[in-house]
Amino acid sequence: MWQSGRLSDAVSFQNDANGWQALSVHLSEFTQVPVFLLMDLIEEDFQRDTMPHVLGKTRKNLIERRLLQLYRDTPFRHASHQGREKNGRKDDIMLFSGMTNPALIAPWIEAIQQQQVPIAGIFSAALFSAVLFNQFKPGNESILLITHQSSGLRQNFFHNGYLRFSRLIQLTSDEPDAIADLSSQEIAKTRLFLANARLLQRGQALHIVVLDNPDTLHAMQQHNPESDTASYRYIDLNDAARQFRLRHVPDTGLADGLLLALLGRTTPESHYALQEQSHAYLLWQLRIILYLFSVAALAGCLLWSGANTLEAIDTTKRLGEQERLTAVNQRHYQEVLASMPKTLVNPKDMKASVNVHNLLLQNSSRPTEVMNLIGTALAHLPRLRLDELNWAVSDGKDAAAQAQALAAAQATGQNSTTLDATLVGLPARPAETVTVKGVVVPFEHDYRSALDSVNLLIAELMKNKNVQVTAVQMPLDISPSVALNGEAGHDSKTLTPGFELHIVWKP
Amino acid sequence: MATNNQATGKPAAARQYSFLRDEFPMIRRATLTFILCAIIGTALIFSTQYMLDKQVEIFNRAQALQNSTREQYRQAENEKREILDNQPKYLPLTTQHFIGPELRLDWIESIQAIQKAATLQPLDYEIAPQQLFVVDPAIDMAGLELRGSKMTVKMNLLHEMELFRFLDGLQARQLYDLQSCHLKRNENGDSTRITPMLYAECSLIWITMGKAGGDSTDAAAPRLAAGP
Repeated sequence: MWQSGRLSDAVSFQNDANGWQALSVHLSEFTQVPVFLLMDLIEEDFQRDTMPHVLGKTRKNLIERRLLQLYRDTPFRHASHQGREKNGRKDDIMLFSGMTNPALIAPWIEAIQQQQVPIAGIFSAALFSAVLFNQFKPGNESILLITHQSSGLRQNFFHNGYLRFSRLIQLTSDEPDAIADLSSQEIAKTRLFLANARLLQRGQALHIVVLDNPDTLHAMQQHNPESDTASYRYIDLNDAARQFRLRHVPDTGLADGLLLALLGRTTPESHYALQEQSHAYLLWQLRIILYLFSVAALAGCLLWSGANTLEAIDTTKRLGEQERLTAVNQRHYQEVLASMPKTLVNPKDMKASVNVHNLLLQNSSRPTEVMNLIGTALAHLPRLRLDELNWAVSDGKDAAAQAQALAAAQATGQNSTTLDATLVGLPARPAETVTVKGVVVPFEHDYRSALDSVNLLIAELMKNKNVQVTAVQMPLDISPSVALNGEAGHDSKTLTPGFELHIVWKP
Repeated sequence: MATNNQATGKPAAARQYSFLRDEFPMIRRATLTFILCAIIGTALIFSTQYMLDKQVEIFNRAQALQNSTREQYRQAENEKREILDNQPKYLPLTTQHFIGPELRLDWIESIQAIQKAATLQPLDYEIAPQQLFVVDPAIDMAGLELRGSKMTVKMNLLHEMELFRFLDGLQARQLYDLQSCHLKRNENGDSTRITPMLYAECSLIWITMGKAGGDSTDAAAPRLAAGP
């Protein structure tokens, strides 16, 4: 029994009706545990052949047909791919194998199926030896791997890393010397066979790897001296188990335990699986998956529910805090209400009144500012005398816009009912315009001086960045585009050349 | 499933294959366990989710109530602060008759008093019917409206400072906004004699505030009671 990475001690059954029945009874206690069948039989045949390199269903059909041709009398057939030919059409190299006497296996399978125990796979000890070969890495040359099982000595020949053939030699004695002697004879026979089958050139070195218990290995070392054509590597079963990091392998002095432990740990694809046996194992796997899904679903739902519950508890805590804050707010509100100053006026109206009043005071138009500007400028120009001054608040619109607005207002009747708040400084202080009219005295027919005086006044006013001055009328219009009338020789006292300036001030 | 057992070569039972009868028993317990776990798990999720949703709903209501009471408290605080800030400034506005209906009789008496006190030249004035101001919406007017009455004043002046004294006198009594002033040198003015040298014609707007839609001729201004 392989459980938690450990292989329990072996239980043996005789290969007869009593043994089969005993196995069936034994398995009745473990009906939910899948069975791995490892076959180590003489009646296993190996055929190495090539076939066209095709893929998919065609490949499957081709392999099935070839297996049927080779092993028509047994359902236990297997094919393994061993690379491709290097030349020609590069066919696939296949190793076909089959259990040639199914009657040897059938009673055991029937005994297992009686208990409806799932069969995970039927494995060949010869094919499974590739696992040992890959672990020991003896090289890609011609390797003969010898293992000692309860059924005898098995010789597995590997070439270029692939199993080429395998044979089982039955033992007549368990004595190490006898085993070593037999082994030596059988190696010689195998070498001869390999040479005849042209799998090994004459004189070519054969590397032999032996896996056995220490006593037998010692005896083998005595019987098999090193030579140019044979080199040996002896591996103790316990060392092998350590190499494979197997924690517990029954110490029987045979390789059976090691192979079974490796089978339990690696669970490779079945070599000789039948459809009905695979189906039972599939159902077993489905059963395991359903249990796993049940656990996962329940765990997931529990986690989800747990998260919901925790969140609900947290929400309840936060709810208490909200209720506390609500009570605090209500208490504060009542306190504010109790201390609220009494008033018959809506506080919003009160605030609006104060704000509007402040804006009106802040933005009210004050003619004194612009008049002071004009007065200061005129103080340096005594020849200019003002006769008329027209100050007004401007709504910022030009003449055309004002006319348009006036027409629109008349059309809607607004003229009689509404006033524009921008004129009184809501929301911003409006611009102011001043039109000044004056004369140059004394004149004394000095047009140049008169013009200079008015220009000086304009320049003086324009020093202020907020002031724009437009000359509407100058003492003498000297632009080339207009007609110019003048007089000379008359009494200068009767001549008073006037001027008119339009001043815009944006505070 | 094949009707013959390939391994044993024995003839199989003649009965028809049935998944429910032949194979389902192998996974029946696992299937029932899975269904049971799924039902229990789903029921757990739904029940706890329902509980959580209810709790969240209660919490949201409590939070909304808390926000509402906080806002109510904040508004009350603001209102109190505004009253404390604005009431001392508001009360003088009522006594200055900026708030409330127009008091044209007071204006006339003020003009007469200023003219007499400043010994100004005789003057003429004309007050137009009251009009409403169209105010920029950005300015908060609450429930009030701004009203204005245009007044035109025509007067002779010995010098320009008389005009400013007159305007200052008006400002001390009632809020107005000066709109235009036209000053002109008198043609027959004689600087050697005490005769008016200047002629002035000014336009101004008397400004008052009152309840929107309220009677602008109402003689009574809102009465206030200061303090708690």
